[in-house]
Amino acid sequence: MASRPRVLVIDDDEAVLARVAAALEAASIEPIVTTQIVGTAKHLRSCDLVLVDFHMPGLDGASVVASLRAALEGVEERPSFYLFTSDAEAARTWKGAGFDGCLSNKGDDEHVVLQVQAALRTRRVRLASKAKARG
Amino acid sequence: MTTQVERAAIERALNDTVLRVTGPIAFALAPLYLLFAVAHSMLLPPAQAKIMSPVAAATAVAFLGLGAATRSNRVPRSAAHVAAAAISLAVWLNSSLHVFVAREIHQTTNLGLLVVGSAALFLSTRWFVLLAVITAASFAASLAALPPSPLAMHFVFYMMSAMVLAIVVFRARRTSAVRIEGLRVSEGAQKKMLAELSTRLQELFDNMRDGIVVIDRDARVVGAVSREATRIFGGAAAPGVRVAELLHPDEPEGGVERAALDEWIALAFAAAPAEWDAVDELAPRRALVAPGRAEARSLALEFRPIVDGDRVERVMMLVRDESEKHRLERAMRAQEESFARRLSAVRRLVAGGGQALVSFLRSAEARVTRATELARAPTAGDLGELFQHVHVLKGEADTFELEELRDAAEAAEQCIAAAQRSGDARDVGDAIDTLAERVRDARGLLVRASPIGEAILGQTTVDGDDVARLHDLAGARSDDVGELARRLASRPFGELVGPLVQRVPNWAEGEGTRARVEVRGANERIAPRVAEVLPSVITQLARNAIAHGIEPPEARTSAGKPAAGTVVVDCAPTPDGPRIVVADDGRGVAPGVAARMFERGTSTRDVAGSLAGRGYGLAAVAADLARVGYAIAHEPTDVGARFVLAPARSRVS
Repeated sequence: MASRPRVLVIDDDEAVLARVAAALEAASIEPIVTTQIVGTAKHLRSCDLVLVDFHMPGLDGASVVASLRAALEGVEERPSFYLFTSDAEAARTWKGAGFDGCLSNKGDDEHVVLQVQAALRTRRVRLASKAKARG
Repeated sequence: MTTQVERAAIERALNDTVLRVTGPIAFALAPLYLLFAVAHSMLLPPAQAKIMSPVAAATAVAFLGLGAATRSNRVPRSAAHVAAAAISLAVWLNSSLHVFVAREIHQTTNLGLLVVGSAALFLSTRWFVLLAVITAASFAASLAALPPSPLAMHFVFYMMSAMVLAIVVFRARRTSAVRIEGLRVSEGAQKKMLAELSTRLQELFDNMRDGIVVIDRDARVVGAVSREATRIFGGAAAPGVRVAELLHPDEPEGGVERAALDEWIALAFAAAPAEWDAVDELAPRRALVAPGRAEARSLALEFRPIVDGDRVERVMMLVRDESEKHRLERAMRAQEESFARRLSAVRRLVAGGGQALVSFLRSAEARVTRATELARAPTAGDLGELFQHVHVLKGEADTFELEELRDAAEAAEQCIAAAQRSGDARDVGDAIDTLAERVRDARGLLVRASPIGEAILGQTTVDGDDVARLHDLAGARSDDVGELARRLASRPFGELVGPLVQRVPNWAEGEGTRARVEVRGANERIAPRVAEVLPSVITQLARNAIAHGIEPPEARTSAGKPAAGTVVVDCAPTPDGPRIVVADDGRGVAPGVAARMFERGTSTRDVAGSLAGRGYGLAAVAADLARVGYAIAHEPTDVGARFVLAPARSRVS
């Protein structure tokens, strides 16, 4: 049986984390949830996808992504980093902040799962294309 | 190879060609023959002019009439060669007449011109041969009728040359015309066939349950869109529209789902047809169009390649609208969750001492009965009393977190208050009926949450020591008092095994499987001594069932069993005392183990787990039961394992 994709969700709202974790679990996606950036580095290597809430108090999304990416120095298959927000204004800044994309509609669990699946598919498509290019 | 139908079509086309030139030729020859008529009258001897000039003039008029008839479409296509032959015969008549009237052999040159001209006019072999034969015959007749001439041989060769030239011209023209018209007919037939195929394909598309949209390598809709796809996407499913726009219209450009779809389509077109299975694994399977909106639709997606040689030329997207199914599933899930929350809340209440809830329900039922009486034809005073009952009920429902009952009481309160203001109490009865319904629901929920079922409604709180003392004093008596003392000290079977309902699923999860407990005979009374050992005995058997019996969900499904196992705990009365069966639908007990399973140290596990495997559980069970006069036996069965616990003096199995 193929291993389940693993998604790290970083959000300061525990209620959101609980809901998203249950929805991902039901969709056969393994969730790792945390309200802290500290200590997440150990999960990064085993994750396929990292969702980061942009508006966590005292944190700057761009520097969070930069520090998480720095922790993956030398790793060949890095996870994809996605901004996770319902704020349309913030959603427009994902590229500048160094994310690979943006997940919106945070309040709709079902839509969140579909977006996570889309992000995972994109990652697999890119890995497949890369492998094909290498021959 | 041309078919008979195509040959007929070609002949029709050749007739069309002849008809198209017949009119202009007739109009061109008309002034020429008018000129001949004038020239004949001026240049020929009067005797010859008298004949030739009117004939030429009549021919000119005939040509004008024929030209006009063809221009106004009065000559049918099938008569095209008849019209062309009329021109040739008119020319032949003038030429032959001139030969005989003038009695000059050099006038036969006109016959040579006629046959070459006819070769340039006719496209029918039959008509051309007829005209050539007539011309040759009239030439021969001229030679016979005219006086001998030294120029005769010259004109014979001239006529032969004209005939050969005419045949060459006719053959070349007909061959080219047949080929050109053949190509046209063939192209027309192919176009017609393609149009028919296209119509049939569209009908096939339209009759399929799935919507069909064909995608090109630019990720845009191309070609026909099926009727179902048009229904699903409305007018948006038009050629040239991006597929991402159809499936994710609300998402901004570069959104995660649009990007995933676009990248997948690029991969799909870059892949070889043989790689399709791997590509298809990465395809989206579902799309939520307009999420969060009233018109939101849940679509199931499938993709198929349309292959040309060794490359994917198009991708066919099959779309199924599952919105209604999805909506029902969501509604059902929400309903199940709501029911589970309510049941769990009541279970918590029961676990914390269900007596308070039972008392509340009794008083609520009494209040609703009274309220129903008052609501039949309430006076102003009745409405006041009604309000009081409902208001108290609302407060109590709030205390027990019975939300629906509380909401119904609040609605009834508002209804009564409105009736007090307006004097119109017609709606009060309905509001009280709804409230009574909610009280019945709460009662049902309590019975369902209670491990002892209906029996909980008849229970009251007493001191355990008092009951034990009463049993010691009067339990041995054979009269009604003894019976009552024994009954008071006994426990309902459901109360003893109730905790298993929540524990068994947890234990099963810990063992990597799924299981539930089904309790039967929850109201059966268990004597106090037996009640002391029964919970641990049944717990041990249930743990064994999970540790040794219930298979993992995949194995169960493969064996045709439900994914979750069931442990049935059944209590039934017998004259000697209750007989209890603990059965599961797992893999059962191996024959070699069954014979010695109640001996110490017998286990089917090499390594002890958290639930079982040390080989002492069943030996302890048998010993505990023996201490209270019960015996345990394993009863062979077709599916799973079955243990029977019965008074030792009765037959165990």
